[in-house]
Amino acid sequence: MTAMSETTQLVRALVQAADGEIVGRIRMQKIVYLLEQLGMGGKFWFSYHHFGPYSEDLTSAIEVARFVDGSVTEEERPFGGGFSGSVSSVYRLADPDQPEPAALGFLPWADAKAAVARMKRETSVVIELAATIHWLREQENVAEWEAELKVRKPSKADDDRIGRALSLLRDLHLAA
Amino acid sequence: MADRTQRIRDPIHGLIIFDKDSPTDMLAWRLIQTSEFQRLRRIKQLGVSELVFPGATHSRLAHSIGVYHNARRLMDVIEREEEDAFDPKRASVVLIAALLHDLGHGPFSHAFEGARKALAKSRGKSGIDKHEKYTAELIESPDGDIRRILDAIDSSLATEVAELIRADDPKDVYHAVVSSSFDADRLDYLMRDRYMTGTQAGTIDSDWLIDNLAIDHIPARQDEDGETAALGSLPTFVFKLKGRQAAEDFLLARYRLYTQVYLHKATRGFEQAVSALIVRIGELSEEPERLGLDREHPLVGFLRPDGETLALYRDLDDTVVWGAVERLRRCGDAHARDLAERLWNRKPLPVLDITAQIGPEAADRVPAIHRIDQYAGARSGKTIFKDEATYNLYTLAKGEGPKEHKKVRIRASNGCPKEIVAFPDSVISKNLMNKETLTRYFFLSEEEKSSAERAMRGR
Repeated sequence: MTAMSETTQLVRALVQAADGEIVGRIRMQKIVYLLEQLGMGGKFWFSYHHFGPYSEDLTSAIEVARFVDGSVTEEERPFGGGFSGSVSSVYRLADPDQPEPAALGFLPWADAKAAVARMKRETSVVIELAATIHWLREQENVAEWEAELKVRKPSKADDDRIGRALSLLRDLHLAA
Repeated sequence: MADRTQRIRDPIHGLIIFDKDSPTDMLAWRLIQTSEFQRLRRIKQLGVSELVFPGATHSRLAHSIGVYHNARRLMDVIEREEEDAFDPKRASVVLIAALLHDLGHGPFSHAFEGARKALAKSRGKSGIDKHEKYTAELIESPDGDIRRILDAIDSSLATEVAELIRADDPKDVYHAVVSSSFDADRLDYLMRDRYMTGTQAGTIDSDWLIDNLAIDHIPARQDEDGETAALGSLPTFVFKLKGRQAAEDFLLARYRLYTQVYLHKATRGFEQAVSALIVRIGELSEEPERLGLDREHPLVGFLRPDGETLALYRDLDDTVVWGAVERLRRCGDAHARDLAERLWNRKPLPVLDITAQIGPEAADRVPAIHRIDQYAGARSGKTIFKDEATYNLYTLAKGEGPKEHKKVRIRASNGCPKEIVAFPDSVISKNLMNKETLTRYFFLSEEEKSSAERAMRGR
């Protein structure tokens, strides 16, 4: 089994762990970032982009899963009554009737499912903030992370959303 | 010494005046004289594009001064719209941020960052500091000339300017001057890059565009599962109806610059060569003599593991890199020698253009790319270079989606802002809204390219 197909299988298993659906590229990226922090072991390399930690490796792996493996589909769904620019990508399994694997990478299946389910309860802005908070603290080692978060995301980082982001990190056992 | 009015002649803007009666202009003039700013004179705006467009030799310094000039013009629009509510202090912060916005760029920015990422990955590190972070650090550094000058005006000024630079999204309408669909930066580089490369495609009527700018509030949204949990509204620039056609021309001009200049095949190939050379220096940073460089060379120092300090970064510019290329042409390392020779004497890399050969549809392109990636294996990044550029009408970025503040909106006859492509008689094809991916592979020999092509076709 080549490294590429392991990664492709991981992408499929990830969507499966999300009960067959993940809505939004931002959510997809941040869910994977947080799962990697929990030890999933997908070896996706992240760097900071406009919406927080982002992995081109993941984007490529999703493309392979879609167009080479055929195991994952991406559909664009308009939202918010906006024009063509306001679309969300919806990721689903091409074949939903697959047996559940024992693990998601190095994460036991039940743990992975619970983590993803918890993440999916939040809006993409809250999960973006959670991933960014974790990134600022752990990767950029910013002591005053809350101030930096408010500088980087002035319209998103209000106290209510920061509170929900911290609650998410605590529930995932990723809080400092 | 009393302040004097200063002037700079510029091929795009004509005469740029720094008025002695404007404290912001005088501050800007002093900042231009700093070593941090003058470093931008030694960094070309378009990196290696001059190997394809010989006229593209303009510096980031010229561009930054042009951005300041544009920022003043856009600020006049805000002053007109805000009337008594206009905040001159906030305006001044934004104008200084406009001048200094590119301060932290490295030489051959995109190629250099690509190389640093590759090195970080191979060293098991996550992320790299991008140029925006260096810009903020250069502004706030207590050892720097810029900080000293800003502190003399107001002790919070450096922090306020740096915060603006560090923000992912604009927070008020003043910020829109430097971050919007029609900001001071975009307006200068499109005109400047177009003029200096000699590209004739697309038209930019900047006077008419600025004259037809207004401010409006846009509902900000993000991916949601069927809800419209908006992020409130975002004040930004929109165009009045009379400016719509000029705005379409502006967007098309930008689109043309992407396809004809920024994403030019040969240019991207040379960028890959620069990137590979930087990676090689990083790999041999503990044995630089193999590359004909000494241990104190700024590139060697910066590219060592844990070498990425602000002090060393400040020493990096195009001249340092080209000077290293000159040495590398004659060094003992064959790989470095080959790459350096290609840059020095302009020898383009053999290229396999997947999008051109296979087509733009992902269903065709991705399997072909997958076959080549499998064929390339460990040679990927060493002698086979994958280059993927994603773009559409609004954005050059791959990734997670368009930034709301970068979309172009027109104030329709009912007074509401509407996306420019939503008008039924828009000349902009809706297809341009879709992400286009240009995938090319570059090689160091025709033989390797031919083998890869066979692999791509499944032979």
